[in-house]
Amino acid sequence: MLELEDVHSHYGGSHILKGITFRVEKGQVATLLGRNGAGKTTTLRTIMGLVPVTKGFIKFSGEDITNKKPYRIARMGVGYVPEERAVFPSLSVYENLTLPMTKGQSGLWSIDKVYSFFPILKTRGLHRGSQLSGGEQQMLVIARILTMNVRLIILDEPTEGLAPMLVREIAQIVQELKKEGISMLVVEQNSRFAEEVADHHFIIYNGRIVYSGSNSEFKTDERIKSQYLGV
Amino acid sequence: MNLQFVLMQLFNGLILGSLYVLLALGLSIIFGMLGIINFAHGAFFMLGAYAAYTITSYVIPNFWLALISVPVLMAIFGAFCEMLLFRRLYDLPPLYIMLLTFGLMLVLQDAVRLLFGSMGVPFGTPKSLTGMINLGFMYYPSYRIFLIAVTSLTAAAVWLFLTRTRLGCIIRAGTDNPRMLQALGINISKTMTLVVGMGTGLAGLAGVLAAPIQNVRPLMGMDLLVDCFVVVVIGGMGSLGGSVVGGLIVGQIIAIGVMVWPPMANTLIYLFMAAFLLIRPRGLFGREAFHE
Repeated sequence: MLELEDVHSHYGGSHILKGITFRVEKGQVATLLGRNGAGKTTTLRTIMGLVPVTKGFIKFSGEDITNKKPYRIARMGVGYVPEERAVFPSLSVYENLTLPMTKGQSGLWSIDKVYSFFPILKTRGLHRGSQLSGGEQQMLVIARILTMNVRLIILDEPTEGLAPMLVREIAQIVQELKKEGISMLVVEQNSRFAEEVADHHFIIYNGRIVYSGSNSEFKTDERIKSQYLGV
Repeated sequence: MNLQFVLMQLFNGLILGSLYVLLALGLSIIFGMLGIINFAHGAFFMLGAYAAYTITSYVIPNFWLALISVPVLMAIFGAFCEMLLFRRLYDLPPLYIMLLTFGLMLVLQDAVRLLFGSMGVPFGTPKSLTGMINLGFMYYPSYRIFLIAVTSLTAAAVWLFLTRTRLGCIIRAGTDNPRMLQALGINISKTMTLVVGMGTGLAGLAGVLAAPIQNVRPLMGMDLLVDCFVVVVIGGMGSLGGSVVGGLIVGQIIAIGVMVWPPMANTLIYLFMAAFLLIRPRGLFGREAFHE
């Protein structure tokens, strides 16, 4: 589904990604773990075309997307939810949901289907983005990219700042979307959440992937957790 | 000071306010989408007035033709400025592009000065709109009533466009967070061309409308632009509703200032702005998190 091969990128003059190589298989939920400053967010932004690739390549469902324009990558079916969530505060919930550009296969995620997935958003339809709580915002941004008929969702710290009950709710949503056949790459600090939702884990350290393992391997590997995540 | 005079002044404030609204709306959408203050906006306004002068004096002496064609021509001019100049600098810090708009302002002003002289050119009120209208409580020049009507209709049309159409929705979202739009599959470079074109068209319209009541001279946009910054700051940076309300408020402050103590009229708006910002730093409708 998603393939990165020796990807390098620079940000603000410094070399952040120093040869990232990993793959996310179709229908899989993978997490990208690592300490602050390891390059997690930069990896996601680089996949999305928001940070230029200086070496290496990125493929999405077999097609080369290296250094393509972000809007083209999005239209191919990659949905990006940044850490700051980026709800448009002056738009209504409904406007936020209908904003994305859909291309081809429309109707796969109709607004009704999105509402049935997130009933809370239906009741808040006419409220402005600025009036939503943190949890509602997180649901809105996930719901918003569904209307683009995404095949891969890239989530940057979806649980950050959310109460435990909401974290559980987000975990459930991730599971249900997986059942719908959507692949996901999730950046997380919360390794309990990561273990709950993911099939595979990657650990990034100083701009390189230093660990790759299935969920069952990762769960029991205390050494790797303490070495790279400080758990 | 009688009531007639006070009402007259308040109407004059409304005229000035209407021009501020047209200019500030354009400044606001450009600021929101590109993240820059467009210093050339006043020059676009001035260019609109000179374009109207050129059309009515050298092409076809018809104000109505100028009223319709100048905003369209100016919108095209603005779109070209975006495509040929602004676009090259988006990857650099915003200061560069502001410097570019500042330079563009100087170039346009001097180009007009070279072509038409620095004294300014005469511009008459269109014939069908000379004379006065009896409003019941006072007589008021019909051209000025017409100006208020046109700007109100334009502001309403812009408002409907921004709130009711998909493109308007994209522009509003762009004033919130232009980068996020790309991640939703929207080609923002086209949107940016459109926004600069639209803002420039509005400035051009303001220029045509102002031509019969202001002196048409190369620096006519300068003073108005500085006042417009005050409008945008009071209204709240990036807020479109704020541009409308802020424009009307500043127009009235100047009109009242002229009645009370004319030399202070222009200073008054800065005093008001300073006092207002002490109470509400983000302006009327600005969002707290807008300037991180």
